[in-house]
Amino acid sequence: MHNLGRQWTCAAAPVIGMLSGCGCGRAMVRRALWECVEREEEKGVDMGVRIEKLCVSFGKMRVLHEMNMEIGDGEFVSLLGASGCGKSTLLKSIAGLLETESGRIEIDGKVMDNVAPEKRGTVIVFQDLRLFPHMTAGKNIAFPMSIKKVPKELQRKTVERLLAQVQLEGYGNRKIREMSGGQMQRVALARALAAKPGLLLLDEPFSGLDERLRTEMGELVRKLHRENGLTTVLVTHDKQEALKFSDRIALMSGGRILQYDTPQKIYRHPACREVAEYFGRMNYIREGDREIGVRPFDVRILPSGNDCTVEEIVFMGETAEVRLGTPQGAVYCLVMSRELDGMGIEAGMRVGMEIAF
Amino acid sequence: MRRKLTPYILLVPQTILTILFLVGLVTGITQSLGMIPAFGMTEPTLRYYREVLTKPDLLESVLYSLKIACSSALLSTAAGVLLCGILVTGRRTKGKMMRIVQMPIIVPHVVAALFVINVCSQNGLLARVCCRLGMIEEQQEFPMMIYDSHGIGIVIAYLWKEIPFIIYFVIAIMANIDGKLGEAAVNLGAGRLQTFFRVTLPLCMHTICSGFLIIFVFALGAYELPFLLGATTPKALPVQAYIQYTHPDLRNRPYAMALNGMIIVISLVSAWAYFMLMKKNLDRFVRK
Repeated sequence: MHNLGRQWTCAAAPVIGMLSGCGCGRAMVRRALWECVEREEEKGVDMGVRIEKLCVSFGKMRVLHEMNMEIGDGEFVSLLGASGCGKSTLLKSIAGLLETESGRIEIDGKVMDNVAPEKRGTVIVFQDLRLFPHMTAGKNIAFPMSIKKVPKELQRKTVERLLAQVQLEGYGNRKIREMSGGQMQRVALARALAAKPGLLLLDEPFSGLDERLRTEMGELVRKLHRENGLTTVLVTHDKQEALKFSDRIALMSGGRILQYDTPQKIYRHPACREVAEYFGRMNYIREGDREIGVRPFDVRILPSGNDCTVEEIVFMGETAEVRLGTPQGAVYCLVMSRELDGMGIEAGMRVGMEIAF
Repeated sequence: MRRKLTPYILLVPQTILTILFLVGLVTGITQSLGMIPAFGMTEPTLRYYREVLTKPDLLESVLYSLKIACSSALLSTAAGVLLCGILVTGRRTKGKMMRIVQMPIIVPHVVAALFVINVCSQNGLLARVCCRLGMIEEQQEFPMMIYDSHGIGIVIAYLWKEIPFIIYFVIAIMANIDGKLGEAAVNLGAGRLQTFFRVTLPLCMHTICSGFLIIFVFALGAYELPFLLGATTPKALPVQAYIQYTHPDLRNRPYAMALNGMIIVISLVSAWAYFMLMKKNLDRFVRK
């Protein structure tokens, strides 16, 4: 689908013709265009991305190594990885805010070589939000529309609609410095949506929030993604966030994608040890020349058995981690705390274990 | 005990300087009110201020100084900000380019005056080049930019010195704002110019105004450039004050002090404005 929001083309064209023909003013043409864009947006404006052999360097240091990736229309993709693995660099390269060394980025089927950032149809919500401190929340949200010279009345209506969407009704005249972290996040999201992006890029926007607010904001983003029919790329190092909200996850390390798959597959069928271990502790069991990775949740304790010794129990709230000593080494097992209480297991006891495949 | 005294001991030089400054200031203000007991003048009066503001030649000096200070500060600020904008949008805020731009800051004003005389006077480089190119028949036809009643030479010298100062003063904050918030604006669909005028410039305005005030106050109170490059009449306030101060009739001294008093009042108002701007900046920083 074309990026109607950015280019004001396609379905809007006949409207321009009609209005120009009947001698209507520019403001009316702009109004008609914007309304047309609004209607198209309700149908869903999204765009796919294709990245081929993308290399990005900072000076002599190469940050992204021949990266390939494809993001489908309307997909929610997370770029997951430790700090410095190149997630934000990839995001900024897609948005055109960084110069790429080689390779190709296609957005909505168009090659983005030499296309200015403002013409790509992508909008980033930065980690530090970058709200304009000299403007109110409403003015911040209206900024992308004022750049496009959208009529004032329509700007006002859109700001009100977006404030309602991010649950900030009545906050339009609030100064940025008078808002809390969570409210600023919402304003940043609303401002990004006001730019009518085909591709919404989120660069760890919730990293400064507490856990409850992170979850709340994550759900809001997911809702906005669905309601606005966006294609969204979320950069995060929080595996739970990625697993919970994404259609697909690209796990990155050292400027490369280690695995790009659905949350279920990447968690259950990791391509390598590094991927497996990113999502939590692993037990490795040798069988001849094969090594099998088993997640602690897939190890079951049999209170009646006598295969191993309970070496340590770590209480973690809902769950508890049990370290079992076996002749082959330690095996970690994750059980629900209540279940463990029912078993009556204590450190030093002999128990059995089985692996649930 | 010694440890307790250390901060006070460290403050002694500053305290002495402040006392000297305050004694000078109070003496100056007292004399400007016509109180110099040594000359038998003991009654306080505003006569000298009144005369300064009504005597045609002295009033002309006040207006002349204000005109030079205003135009130097305004033009330096405008040109400095424009160059800053070009350097920032062109990502040339570091390295050789910046060192070249900042060079005039370390050159003394007296040298700047000599430079302007050599380049802009009717015997200067520009006049000779214009004459050689046939643009004027004689060097004397070259417009009078030095020792003129509009103070063009003084303003040129200030521009040469103060444009780099504004760049030095503003560029770091402008580059920082443009790098982060400018990137955000571009990302939201703004072009480079829109970003500069709608985001970067408004956010730098406090710093720019501070720079303007510093130049304004300096140009208002500076003596050497108006003395070296100024016309016979009108004379700039500091030059006029110096003449009055060194007048053979010592009873003229209150005029000198009244002229200085006017510089002090304008400077204090500017300092207060500067303080308010800085306070606003600081408040914003603290809130962040």
